[in-house]
Amino acid sequence: MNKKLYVKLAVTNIKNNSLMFLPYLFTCVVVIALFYTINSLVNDHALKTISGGNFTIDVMKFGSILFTVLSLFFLLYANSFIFKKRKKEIGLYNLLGLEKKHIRKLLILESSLLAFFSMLVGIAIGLVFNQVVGIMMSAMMKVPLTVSIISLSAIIKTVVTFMIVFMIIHVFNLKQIHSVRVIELMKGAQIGEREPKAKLFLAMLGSILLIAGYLLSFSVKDPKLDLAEIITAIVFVVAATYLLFIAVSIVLLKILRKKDGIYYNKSNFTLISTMLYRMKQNAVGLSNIAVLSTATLIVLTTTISLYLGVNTMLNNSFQFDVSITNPAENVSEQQQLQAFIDKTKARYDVEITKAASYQGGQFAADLTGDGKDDFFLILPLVDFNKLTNENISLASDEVMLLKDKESATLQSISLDNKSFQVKATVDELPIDTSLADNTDANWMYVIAPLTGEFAQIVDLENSLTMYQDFNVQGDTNAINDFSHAVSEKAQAIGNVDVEAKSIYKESLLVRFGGLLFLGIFISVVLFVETALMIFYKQISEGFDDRNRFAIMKKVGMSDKEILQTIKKQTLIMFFAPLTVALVHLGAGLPLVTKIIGIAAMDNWLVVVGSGIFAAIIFTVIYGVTYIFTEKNYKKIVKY
Amino acid sequence: MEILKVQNVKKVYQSRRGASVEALVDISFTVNKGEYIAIMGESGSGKSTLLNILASLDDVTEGEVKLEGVNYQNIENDQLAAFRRKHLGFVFQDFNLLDQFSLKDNIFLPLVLADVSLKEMNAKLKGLAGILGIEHILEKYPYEVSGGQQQRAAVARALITAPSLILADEPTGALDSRSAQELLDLFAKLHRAGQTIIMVTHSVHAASKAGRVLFIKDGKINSEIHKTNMDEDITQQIFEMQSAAVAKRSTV
Repeated sequence: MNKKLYVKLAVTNIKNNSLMFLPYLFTCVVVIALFYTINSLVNDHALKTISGGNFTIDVMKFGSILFTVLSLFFLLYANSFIFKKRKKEIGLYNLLGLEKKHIRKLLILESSLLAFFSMLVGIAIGLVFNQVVGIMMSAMMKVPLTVSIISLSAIIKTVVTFMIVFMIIHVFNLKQIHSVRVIELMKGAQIGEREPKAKLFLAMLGSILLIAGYLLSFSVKDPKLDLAEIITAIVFVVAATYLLFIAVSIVLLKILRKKDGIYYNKSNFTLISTMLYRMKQNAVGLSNIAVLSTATLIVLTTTISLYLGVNTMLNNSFQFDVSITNPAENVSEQQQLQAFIDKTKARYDVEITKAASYQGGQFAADLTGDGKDDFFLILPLVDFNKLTNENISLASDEVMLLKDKESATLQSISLDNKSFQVKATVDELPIDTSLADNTDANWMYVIAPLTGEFAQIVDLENSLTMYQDFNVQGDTNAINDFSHAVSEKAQAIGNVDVEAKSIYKESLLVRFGGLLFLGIFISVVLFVETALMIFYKQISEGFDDRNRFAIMKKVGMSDKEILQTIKKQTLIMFFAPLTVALVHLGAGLPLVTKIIGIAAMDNWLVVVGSGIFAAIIFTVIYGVTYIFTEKNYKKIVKY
Repeated sequence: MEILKVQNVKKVYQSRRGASVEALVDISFTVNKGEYIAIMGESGSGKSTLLNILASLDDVTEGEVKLEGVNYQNIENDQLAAFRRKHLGFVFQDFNLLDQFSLKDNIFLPLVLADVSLKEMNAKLKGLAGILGIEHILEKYPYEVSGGQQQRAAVARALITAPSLILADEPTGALDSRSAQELLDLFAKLHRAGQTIIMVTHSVHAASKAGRVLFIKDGKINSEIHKTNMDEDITQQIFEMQSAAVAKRSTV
């Protein structure tokens, strides 16, 4: 057969099936554009060199792999759908004398055309998108990224990755034409689908799983320890979602149908029966949409919360703007740095306030006798008395503790098999005690005489560290510049260590800024794919419903009534999964709060706010998809 | 008594390229109450167009159609469905029952749309189901029963609103000969009970059961056979009429 003819036929096929192919192409283009953008950004030199940048790069790389794999499944799904609709057409070719080998050739051409086009447009959009995202990311992370105009390595990576993706899809297509016979290909839509049976047991199981899943997620205390619980809760809720659509919906509809007063009513009669009839084919599709929507919402909420929660995280980890630590023997270096600070603070127009200077030591040993090592900081009694202007004395075997959940009830602690009496607990210390509620390990703060037995066992005297904690007041940028100057000076001097809140904030912003973008990217991909699924589901129904509505019209249903039925039907089919997803999100928020609590972000208000924000954005985009789909659906059923 | 009056109906379709196609050229006929009419014609003769116009699913280009004195063109668009429901009953070749409904609910559909109470619907169905012999399968779904049974349910759906006119489009087309005969017997029974029926068909046998047969050709009524009494066998006449039409064409 003539090669030109093949090309012509392939192009015509795509054009004639444009309603089917366009959303598919659109999804390919979006995924490719995002893939290129991410892979171009991870090559950014500026991103590689800033603190926290490598974390961001790793997360983004992982994310791009994740959504590529996810996309493969979706494209396969969409493709199988398109193929089903085209079976008749391919059967006709076969009937007209095209052999399977010719059809294969035609399909290869079609696939290549689609692949070529989507890669071309996808990368082109990616090039533009890359610039936009680069600028936005620079602003968000407060670090100027270089943002290359064109990244050859990213282009190669994108092309190779999606060549593989398209090849896999093509192989699936070939398998499909191989396994069907002409007569089956020629057959139209199946008729006479049986009404689904009410599965009372499954419906009950679904309800129980849902409640159990929710309760489990509420009961999680420490996300790191209760990982099994979290996974079980997720599995339960996902399973419940499927059962909800597969069984609960049918049971509910059947109950409604039994109620004559409700069922034999103009506005419900066709609606209830059609929903019941459709549920069988749609239940899985609707559940998929609900699960995907939930995933999108949770990803979006988590990343927004993390980004917005940076300040909470900072305040939880830093009680002072700058902390200087150095071994006691390096006191001269410390004095050198101190001199630098005193000299330069005027230059940056900042003031030092609320300073605390003390000595101490950090150790790890089992103090509580529970078999696990405890991290603890010893604050010598002299330093304590000096800082608090008190005059407390402790015996050699006595200590005091900073009061927290664990230490509040302790009568004594032990070290090296020796017991030490806890004379008192203090509510707060005028030093940085943020480690006390560190989520990784709760530090204990022990006040003991420098010459007492406790200090001697760990040889505190010879391993003393000096601490200078202080706050800085002034313009935010000035504080940041000042912090950098101090930190650089400390590095130049050596043996003194500086940690500054504003520097840490920068690295957090880089991390979570990157995370936020990745979250948005993944949400976009998930969303586009959800929309794709909705679209194909609704369109395929349209083809089936066309005949149904024609009959109803002849039987005496007015155009207005048909339109109303269509509207109600699409509305329910559309917003049922959204409602379920929103309920899941609401129920999942406490767990999300706890999980991001690991990152020292424990402000639940931020999480709830982010959740609401994500829900609004999602609902709006979802609504737009709905309008677009309904329009095409109406076109198909000719209304 | 005159129930349907079709006067100088012309239907012109505009093809996509702008050319116009005359599906119906000039059709006029009247139907009296209780009449049983068959319309015959080859594919493309315009009989489907005519049926759609009689069904008020399509507009006329010229002329008028009056059912019980009401001109279709004077019915408001949003009243059309109600009009169809009240005055017309449809029987189709492929039954057109909805798979989502049981036979009972399929039959109820036009009544539910007309806001009839369940009690009234049940009362109406009871008598009808007996006549049609479908009482035992009312709870079944269309795909669970035979074609003949589906068609009888479809007839019940057409009859339940007690319409002035039954429009049947190739009602025996998808039935085996036994079911087809049963359906024709049923139509004859309905006719005897005073039901007005218009049936479009290809089947000579089916047409021969009607009281009057109209032949449509090229958008016009070509000829007509009128029975003097319902027992008269007009099969031969129909054959002759058909072969005459073919002969005429071959000489042209």
